[in-house]
Amino acid sequence: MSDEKKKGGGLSRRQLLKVSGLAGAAGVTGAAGYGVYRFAQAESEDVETEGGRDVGETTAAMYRSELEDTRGDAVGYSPHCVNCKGNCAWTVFAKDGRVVREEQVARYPQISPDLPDANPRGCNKGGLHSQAMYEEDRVLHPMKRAGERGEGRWRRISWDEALGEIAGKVVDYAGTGAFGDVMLYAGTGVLSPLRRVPALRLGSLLGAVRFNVAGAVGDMFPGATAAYGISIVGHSSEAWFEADYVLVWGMNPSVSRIPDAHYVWEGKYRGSRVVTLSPDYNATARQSSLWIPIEPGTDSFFAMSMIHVVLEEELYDEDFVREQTDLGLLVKAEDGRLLRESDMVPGGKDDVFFVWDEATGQPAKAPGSMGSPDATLDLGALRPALGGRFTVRTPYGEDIEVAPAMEVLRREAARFSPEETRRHTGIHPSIIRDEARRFAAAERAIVLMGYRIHKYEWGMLSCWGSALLLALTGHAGRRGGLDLDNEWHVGLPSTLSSPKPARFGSGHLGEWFDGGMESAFRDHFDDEELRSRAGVDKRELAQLARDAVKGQGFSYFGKPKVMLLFFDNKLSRNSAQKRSEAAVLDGVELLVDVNYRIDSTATMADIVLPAITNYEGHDLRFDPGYSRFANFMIPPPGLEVPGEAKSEWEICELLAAKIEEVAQARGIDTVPDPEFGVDRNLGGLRDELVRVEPGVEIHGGRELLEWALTEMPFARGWTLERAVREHGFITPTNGDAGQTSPLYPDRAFYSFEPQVYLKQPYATASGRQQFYIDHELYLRLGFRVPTAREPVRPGKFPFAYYTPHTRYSIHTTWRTNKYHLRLQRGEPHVCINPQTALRKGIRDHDLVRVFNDVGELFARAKLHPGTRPNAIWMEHAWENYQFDGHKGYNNVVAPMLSPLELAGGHGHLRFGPFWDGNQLTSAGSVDVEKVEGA
Amino acid sequence: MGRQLAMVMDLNKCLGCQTCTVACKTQWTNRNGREYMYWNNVESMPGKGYPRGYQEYDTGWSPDGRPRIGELPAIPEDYGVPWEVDYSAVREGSVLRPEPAPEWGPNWDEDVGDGDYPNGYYFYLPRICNHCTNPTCVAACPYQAIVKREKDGVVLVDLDKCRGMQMCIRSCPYKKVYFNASRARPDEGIQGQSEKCLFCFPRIEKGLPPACARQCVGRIRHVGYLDDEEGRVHKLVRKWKVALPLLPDRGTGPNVYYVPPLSPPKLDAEGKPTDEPRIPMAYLESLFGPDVGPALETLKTEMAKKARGETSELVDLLIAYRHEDMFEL
Repeated sequence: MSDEKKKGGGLSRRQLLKVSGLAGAAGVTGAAGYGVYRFAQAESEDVETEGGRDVGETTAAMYRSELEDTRGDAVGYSPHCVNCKGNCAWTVFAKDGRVVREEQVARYPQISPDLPDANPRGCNKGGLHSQAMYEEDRVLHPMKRAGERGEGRWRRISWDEALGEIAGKVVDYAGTGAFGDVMLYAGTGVLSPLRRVPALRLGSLLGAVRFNVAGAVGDMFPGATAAYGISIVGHSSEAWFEADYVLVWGMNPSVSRIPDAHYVWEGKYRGSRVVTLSPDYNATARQSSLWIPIEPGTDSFFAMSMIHVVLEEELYDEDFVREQTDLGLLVKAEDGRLLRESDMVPGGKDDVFFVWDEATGQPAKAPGSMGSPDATLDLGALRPALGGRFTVRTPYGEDIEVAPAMEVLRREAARFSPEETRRHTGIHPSIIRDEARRFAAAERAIVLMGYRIHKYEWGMLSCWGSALLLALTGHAGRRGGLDLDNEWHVGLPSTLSSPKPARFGSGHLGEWFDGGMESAFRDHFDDEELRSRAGVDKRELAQLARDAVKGQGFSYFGKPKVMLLFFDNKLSRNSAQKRSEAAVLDGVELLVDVNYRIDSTATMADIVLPAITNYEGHDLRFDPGYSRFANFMIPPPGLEVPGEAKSEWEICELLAAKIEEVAQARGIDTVPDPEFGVDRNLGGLRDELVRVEPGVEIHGGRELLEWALTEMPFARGWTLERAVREHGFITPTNGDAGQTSPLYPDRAFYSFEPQVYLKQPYATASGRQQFYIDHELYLRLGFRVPTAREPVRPGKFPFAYYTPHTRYSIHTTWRTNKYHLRLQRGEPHVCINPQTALRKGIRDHDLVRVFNDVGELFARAKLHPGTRPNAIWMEHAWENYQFDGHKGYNNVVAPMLSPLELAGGHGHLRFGPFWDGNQLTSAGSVDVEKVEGA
Repeated sequence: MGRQLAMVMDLNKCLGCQTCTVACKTQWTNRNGREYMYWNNVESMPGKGYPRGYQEYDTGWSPDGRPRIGELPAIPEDYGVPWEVDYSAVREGSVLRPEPAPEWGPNWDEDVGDGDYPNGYYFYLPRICNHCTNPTCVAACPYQAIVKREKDGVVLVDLDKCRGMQMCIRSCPYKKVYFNASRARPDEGIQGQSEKCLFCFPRIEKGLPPACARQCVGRIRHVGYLDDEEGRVHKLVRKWKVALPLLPDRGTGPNVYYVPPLSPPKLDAEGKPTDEPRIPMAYLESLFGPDVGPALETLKTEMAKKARGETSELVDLLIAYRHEDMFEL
């Protein structure tokens, strides 16, 4: 025992009260100054109860009374509408108009006796929103900046004044046809189909800019889109239970999919093999059958080595490959392009392709492609060759040398034997060979790939490669497949959010250009390293970004002058944080943050508007597709909304009315928007906003929900009264809720059943899972089939730096919560391997400086044996203001672009919700040093 | 002899997510002088645990049948100061910092564990009061203020009788009794009183499982009466013998039982998987006693059966197909 222990002791009562925050205010909790908890004041009595020995009635009564206080006098229901794949039904308890506690509803039905039920859905974050919502960072009134941006001086203003100022600025630009100068963007702080509606709707009516959310935050899955044409691909989490092999790759479900993770571990009990690939020994790795430590950013080598073994040992499912993939399509030897109908006949189509039919020894058109009249994958009597070289004679009498795409793939994969890739990944070849065999042999195999992978330079290759691995081994439909991001059809008309075309901008390019990220990118990366690994140098890559907007169809509308951000912590989440923040703010005349709390962006805003938060509004959340239940947000009766906070709908309606008023005062009515061929009706904006269909006007979140209940197929016949009676959730039974397969009421959901069983084409150019892409850029840079590339991080700084998800927040929501901070180390920390730390003279909890030529940050060192010696990582989403100088976790993140993600206008690779690049956040490197004297 | 409510916690399913901790916190300890307390905590092991170094104290029963009265952990430093965060700072453009400066906390060494890369290892150990069969806290109290209830074996502090002597804290091997200085009655010479995990008896009276168990999203906690031979708790503890008490050598007879953790294989110097689990058996034995080896063997045998498509009562119990079935109150 330590001397400290022997001293024993404890603080005096006075000290304890001080640290407990109780002095002078015993029993008071929360920020608003009125508490609900108290010690019962009953008289003391000695009781021998009927049940035998027990505590006295005073004690029992006190704790019973405290329990009653937390059960409140009114009950509501709510999920938590942040950018989380959870979507969980919670009971919300309120007392005297104030939320006191929440608890998972935990009444979801078990859909099959063979599957564990989904209860009690809900995690550590949802479990303390009742505490977080009343902290002092709650925005209570409209506030206007009274000093320089970020200076922290504010003036309370009225709603009318705030809206008048915002409306004036909006009309300055939109009223003169400069629609692209206004950004109206709903970020990831409120990601639900109803509460987002008013902001999206107002933006679309105004023709304002909004970014593709997934691209902006780096949650896009281009690797999946390349393979399948869409990236809404995945399973309900019940499938995790049924799988025989679960490869967890770039995901940490025990941390970032907390409500669903039990299916993985219950599946392991049932008999699945769970293999986790990760640079660090994380919470998921520790529960797995095998942890494969991997050098950060080399996942594409892992993919190719697995594919190598599958091909070399002929473990692939030949019938599946012939029918379901494009690997039988013929590739021209001369230029590497797929053989097209347009090569063969005058006026032939560009999107009809050929196979070599082994049955007839002739080329034949493959059915099912975008241009094919036969919308089926069914090959009939065709037997596409998967190997060989052939000569095709065109009607012009020209001979074309061709080979199936599989041949190209074989040659590429041959370069990546496990023995060869070991020097990149650090993975022993025996692991690759054993796991490739097990994976191929598994009846049902799933790859759980989260949002991390695409934050690396070659994330797209890793994801595309994982799709190829699954395709070769025939894992699709009910045999498994790639699990990224399933979503259900909510069933609301698209005109609800977008009655008129909005300026839908590329998320990653928007942030790249607005944030002036080319400068930090140029400072950090090295031309020679980049050229050898990416095939382009810095100048070429930056040019590709500009070309993407000009020639490849990615949209960018220029830097906005007015930014209205709803729940978007833009200034925290961007790379090269301080530098991009300065670039974003430069030239912005008005930055408005609509939020329930002060986030990093609010600290730099010109106006902050108080919004409601979870529990206080009305909503029905169904979209996230791990769980099949739709969850209501219905406030407890009598709940008081703090201060002057308003719902999203109220805010947008008031703003629309004010814009209308200002426009009319300036004599502006409709303004033509020739770029989109519509008129922007500023003089009648409010009416347009509230009239969701002829004869139907909506004036608030509750009315929107009630109207939506008549629109959503799964919710027809439901009322709010029924919702309350039935514990705040719906179990949808409409089979068409599934976007990629039917949703069966009693079975796990798997993607692509129509393709696998009904032979319906995929949404790709070839109509099949596509692993050959002959975009000019892909051909030029050597990416026509999945391959592997070295990480681009510069050697001049010794450590890879990456920022995975924390269990304590969803983005920055709840990141500052004191109850969570007390379960961590109270302030930001970076994880460092103990040997590395020793070498650097760093001890546990020392203040360290993490730096590179992008920026620096200061944080505490946490010595962590599960951390790779050449990597430093920091859990993401701390607020900038939790760091010295507000230099946040992204301040050392080097901006980067993937050339693969800048190709567009080709086949199914066209800019849209499924094809945008990612803001890459794990491409760079850093160094670390102890801060002396700290 | 009364009945005994017990809890089985499956460490193979524990996510370390702290939802239980938060559930308990908002249910009982976010107020009234309990702010520094975690009646439920989850610690990463190997590690110092919570409160810091709790296993190092002189506690439990001495051979002559008396409770050992060890030193007190420093309150609140060894528990973690519940530092405050002044959120008004963010409005003013300042840095949001906890006060006082953090030096230790109830989950300070989260995910740290032991070992050298790539063979580091850790697991999560959630802990509540063990509601022991032979509780030293009951015996150590000079005022007989701690009661082991006859009807369910739940151990509670009677606040009418507690005079804040803290003998219970000093004798508890698990340090799961806490001192609440805000419950002082200076005129009676009482500096404060002891409080602890209630096994959520007021919830149980209403048919609700304890908050930590009902809200456990990893679905690791089974609750029931140990003497219910048809019950899952009895089956896991007595029939299958895969659930073991923590530090059984202290002799208090804990009624929280743990299904010990499996772990992925260690890698050899070349990076090849070995047959050896990452968590050393000797370490697990130091926590759960000599029965941990057989328990893990039983678990592996039954998992293999289930994987072959045979039935296994044990594995089905651990999967826990229906959440509500985990609670047999």
